[in-house]
Amino acid sequence: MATVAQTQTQPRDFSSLFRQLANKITEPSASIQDKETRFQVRSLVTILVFLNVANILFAVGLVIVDPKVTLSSITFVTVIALAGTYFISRTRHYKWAAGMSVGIISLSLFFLASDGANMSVVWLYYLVIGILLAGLWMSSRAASILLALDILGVGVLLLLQPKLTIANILYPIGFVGITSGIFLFYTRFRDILEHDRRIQIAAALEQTRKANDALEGANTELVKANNLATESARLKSEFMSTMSHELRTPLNAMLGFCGILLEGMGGEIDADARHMIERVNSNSSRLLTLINEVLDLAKIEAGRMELMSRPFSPRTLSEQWQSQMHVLAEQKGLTFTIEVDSSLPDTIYGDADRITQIVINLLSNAFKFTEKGGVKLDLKRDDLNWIIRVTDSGVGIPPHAINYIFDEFRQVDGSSRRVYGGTGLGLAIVRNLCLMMKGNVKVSSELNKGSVFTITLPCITTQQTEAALAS
Amino acid sequence: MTSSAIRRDILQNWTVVVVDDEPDSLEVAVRILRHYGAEVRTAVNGADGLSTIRSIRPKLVISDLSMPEMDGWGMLGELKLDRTTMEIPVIALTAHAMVGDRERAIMAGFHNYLTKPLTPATFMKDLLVLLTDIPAFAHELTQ
Repeated sequence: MATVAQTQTQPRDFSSLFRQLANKITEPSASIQDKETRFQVRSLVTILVFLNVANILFAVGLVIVDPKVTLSSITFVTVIALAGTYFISRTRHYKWAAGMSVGIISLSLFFLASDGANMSVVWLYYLVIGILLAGLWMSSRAASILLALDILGVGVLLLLQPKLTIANILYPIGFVGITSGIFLFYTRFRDILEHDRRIQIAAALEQTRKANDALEGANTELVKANNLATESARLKSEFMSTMSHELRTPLNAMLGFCGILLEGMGGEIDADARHMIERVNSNSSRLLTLINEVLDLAKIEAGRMELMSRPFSPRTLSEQWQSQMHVLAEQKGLTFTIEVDSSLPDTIYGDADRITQIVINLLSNAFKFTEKGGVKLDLKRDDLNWIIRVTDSGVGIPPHAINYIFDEFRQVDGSSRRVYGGTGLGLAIVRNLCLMMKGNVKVSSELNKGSVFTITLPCITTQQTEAALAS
Repeated sequence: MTSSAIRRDILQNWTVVVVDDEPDSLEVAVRILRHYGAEVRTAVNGADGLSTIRSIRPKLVISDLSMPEMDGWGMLGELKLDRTTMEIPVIALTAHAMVGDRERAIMAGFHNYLTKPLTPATFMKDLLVLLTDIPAFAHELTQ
């Protein structure tokens, strides 16, 4: 990806070739990773390269221009030493290279002066410091102005010299001129890089801003959608509670008045009328059960069914179940026995109302599907759980149906619905309530022999915190 | 004890105020209570109930919870603040679904609660069980 982008953005012309070459020459050591430091080192290496080139050019130029001058061993050593700094600067010891180069330049100036050169001319070399500063820290335009002033200064100083030889004019002007040229090139190059970088940053910023705008837009949409969802959930919950009230109120009145008539509180009624009122009563009762089941299931599925954790006595509870269900057993001439094992604790924490709902549901089913024999309810403790078992000697559940009897709206078959009534919601509610109580319900059955429903619930015997219940 | 085994005059000389905004529900309760000899006065909301209770000082109040103007909670609060009415037991009528209301009702100061639907088969039986918790009534009701 990166190389593709490079060939696209950098045409292979002279300036790009030069840029690549300059990049290669001034590349800092790979061990330096900080971006800012790399830039500083690159600047230093650039200066050193320039000094090396300038030094070699002057050493050679001196010999060519003035036949009286020969390459002294000192000049030779200076050239070699300064070139060495370049290589050191390419390692991570670049600071040493900087120090060394300053030392070498100072020493060579000293030797040059002591070799009989005019001191005032030698000092001109120090104008290079200005050029360095200009090149490193100023824009290419400001640098050009400073460099022009620098060259002008050299000229003025030269005019003030008492003895002007060609060498005396050429060395400083040549040195300062070439230095300036190279540095102007450097500043220009740097500015182009900077400009490119700014454009890239601006593009990146623009992209970020656009992405940010898009995010903010999406966020606003989400907030709107969330508000809508919250509002819709609130309306739904409100509707459910209104509906449940509105559905039950007329049925409650029907059941109440049927009861009053059947109890003879509204005066004597004949057998035929009694029969019809009983039908109204039982149908209203069925409808109320259905409504309660549908609303319970809706509540469970909406996650709004709340469970209590309060102490209750399973023995007292089982007596309540017996008194509630024995009428049904008597009506069908079935036996109904309850066995509470001594292992069961006297007090268990849980939601007695919901446990009653589960047990009454299973017992009603057991009585509904049993014609002879009876129904048995066992309670016992099993390690960390307690177990409620409802055993009947009824029609049983065929093997193909046993896997889906806990699904909503499922009964063994359509005809069973007609024969036995019911909504098919009871066992779904039983399963959901068991799961909510961190327990489970299992069934085993043999056709025409009977069924066994086993409820396993955690046996909590001490007050538990909400957190412990939730975990 | 089935409903038929309950004495017809067990609530003789009892004045009971029933508060409910549903006229049918109210009538069912009234007919059952009157059947057992009680003198029943009715009210259709908490505010109405409050003035009725203050004027006749009944022996027992049976009240629905959610009603317009003043609900059962508000009415109970007012009754408990008034020294002349604070001793009157108030029994709440709760809907099947409002499981949390039952706990709240007892915490709030209702003597106990009965769950709708009210039918003669269960209403009197449950009511008498609740009332025997009150020492002053227990003696009278078990005579």
